[in-house]
Amino acid sequence: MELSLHILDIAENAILSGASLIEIELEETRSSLGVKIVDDGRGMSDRELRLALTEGYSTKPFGLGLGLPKFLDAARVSGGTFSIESTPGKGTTVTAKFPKKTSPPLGDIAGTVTSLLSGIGGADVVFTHDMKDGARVCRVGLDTRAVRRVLGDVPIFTPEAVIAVSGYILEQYKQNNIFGGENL
Amino acid sequence: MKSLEELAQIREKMKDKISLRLGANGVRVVVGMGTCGIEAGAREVLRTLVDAVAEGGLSDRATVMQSGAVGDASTAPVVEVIAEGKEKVTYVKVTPEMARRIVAEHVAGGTPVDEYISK
Repeated sequence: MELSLHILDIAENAILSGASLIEIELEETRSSLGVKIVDDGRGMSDRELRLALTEGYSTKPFGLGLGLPKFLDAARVSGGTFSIESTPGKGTTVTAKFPKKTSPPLGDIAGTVTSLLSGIGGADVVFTHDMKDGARVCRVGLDTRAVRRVLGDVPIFTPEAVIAVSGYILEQYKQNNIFGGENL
Repeated sequence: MKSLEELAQIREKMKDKISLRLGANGVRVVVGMGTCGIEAGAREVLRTLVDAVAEGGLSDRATVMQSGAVGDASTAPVVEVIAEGKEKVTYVKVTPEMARRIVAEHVAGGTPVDEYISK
């Protein structure tokens, strides 16, 4: 499964945990992709965290929360690293690093960020994708707080707005993608 | 779109329509985005619904939203259509092609796509 779908799953967990801000930070080099997802939701106790990382366990109906062990597994299988920190009442931070050679592709990350617009309600998402190749550095990003400021009373999930934001992210990848368009 | 400022045009275009939508006759289209849904293609289904609603000029009366807790491995992706004053209709194992038909016939036309409905 492409990594952007894992990222979507983790971000959905963050929404359900009552987060008001979800940060998705990607750091990509020629050889690796770092993923960090930070939320300020309700967090988990040590016991809940252990259970959340157990395949087949979920605190919610319909298998929600199953995405965490799958993401951990993807990191493990590709020889990468994975860590998670969570504090009840403060939030959760999921961090993983993937060697690009052996990991699944990132895939449609623009699609992942865009689809969150229909689910965040009043919460906000800050997405940044930093790409670094030697001295060349570039960033693709989206901050839904800025989107809301321009949209005013028009909801962020309005289809026309979602499509425009999607185009905005893809345009940035066209301008800035130093790894040959593999994320488009 | 090259900058977020271009969203201002969308704001101008949509603001009157949005006030209409807050009135009666609204249709909510809800996609289940749990782990099973995501694995089964819910992200693409959601995007297709968004595109179809915009292309059909339906944003004044239909919203496309997601919910966490719908669908398991045997039914995902799940799409629910909730029309004002009507019973909720649930579609299972929805593909982007099905999503287009659901928007055209059910959301725009008001007639559920019988052959897709889970019994």
